[in-house]
Amino acid sequence: MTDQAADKPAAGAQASAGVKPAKPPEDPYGEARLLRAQAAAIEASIPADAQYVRLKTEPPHESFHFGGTSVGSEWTVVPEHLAPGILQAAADAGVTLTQQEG
Amino acid sequence: MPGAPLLYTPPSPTTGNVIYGTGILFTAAVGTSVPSDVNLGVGTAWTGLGWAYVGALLDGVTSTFAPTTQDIMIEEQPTPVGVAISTATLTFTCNMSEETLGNVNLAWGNAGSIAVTPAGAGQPGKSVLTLSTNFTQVAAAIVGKNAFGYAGVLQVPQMISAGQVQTAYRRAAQQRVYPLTLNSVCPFNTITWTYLSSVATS
Repeated sequence: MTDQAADKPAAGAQASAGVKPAKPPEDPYGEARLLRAQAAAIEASIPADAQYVRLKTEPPHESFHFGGTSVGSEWTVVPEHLAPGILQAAADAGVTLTQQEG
Repeated sequence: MPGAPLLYTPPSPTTGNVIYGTGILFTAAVGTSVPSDVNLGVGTAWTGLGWAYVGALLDGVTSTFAPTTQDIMIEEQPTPVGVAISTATLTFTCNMSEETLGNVNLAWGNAGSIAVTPAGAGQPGKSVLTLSTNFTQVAAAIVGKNAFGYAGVLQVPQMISAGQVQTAYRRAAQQRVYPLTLNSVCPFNTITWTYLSSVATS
């Protein structure tokens, strides 16, 4: 697939008669309300006995991304079972993370 | 006396079920929640929950369901008496056209980490991808538009990126692409295909 892709003409020459995706509603605050609602739903779904830790990056790094999880320079909630992998990856990359139990 | 007339009245196809259009590929850490039903077709609902959109693709995303079978034969019959499923794989493939470190990492096994350093005095802003061979699994979902005009979502809770990646740096022939191959590694009964069909009544 990749060898053929290298010799293909640039994309755009193919017919693209697909169905256009629906446009988002014209509401400048709609996304914010949606994200708050999603966050509230997530918070409500977390079991009372869920274990988690808080991590944050130390200077000079402002964020660290591993395995689909992002840790910022502010305390970031991370499921406890993901923490060891993130900490090891950070150590391998030379990034300092500070951990606080949840 | 002649019998009943012989008719030929085949059923008519439902052309509204003939669907074309691009699919939107999202990936996330295993266990990441999907948006609620009403928001399955809203891109920001996915990204707000931590799903990453792979972005522009060279030739769309392809899902491949490839079972292999084993015929059960007996001497007394030339045709198989049974067909057993030996393996069944579900694969998502695409050629990512947006060169971001996140996409590079995803194509190269999703095992690396990205450390971001902001610009500062004497320090340019930078992001550093550190690779690893400890491939990590991802959850993936393809969102498309179904016959009703609403979202149809094929969701696989556990996949692994383990395909060969060749990226050509060309002057003008083509953009740099990062082929992505995601292979399902979860029980098949955990894979779901959700079709929204009508608006909620209230």
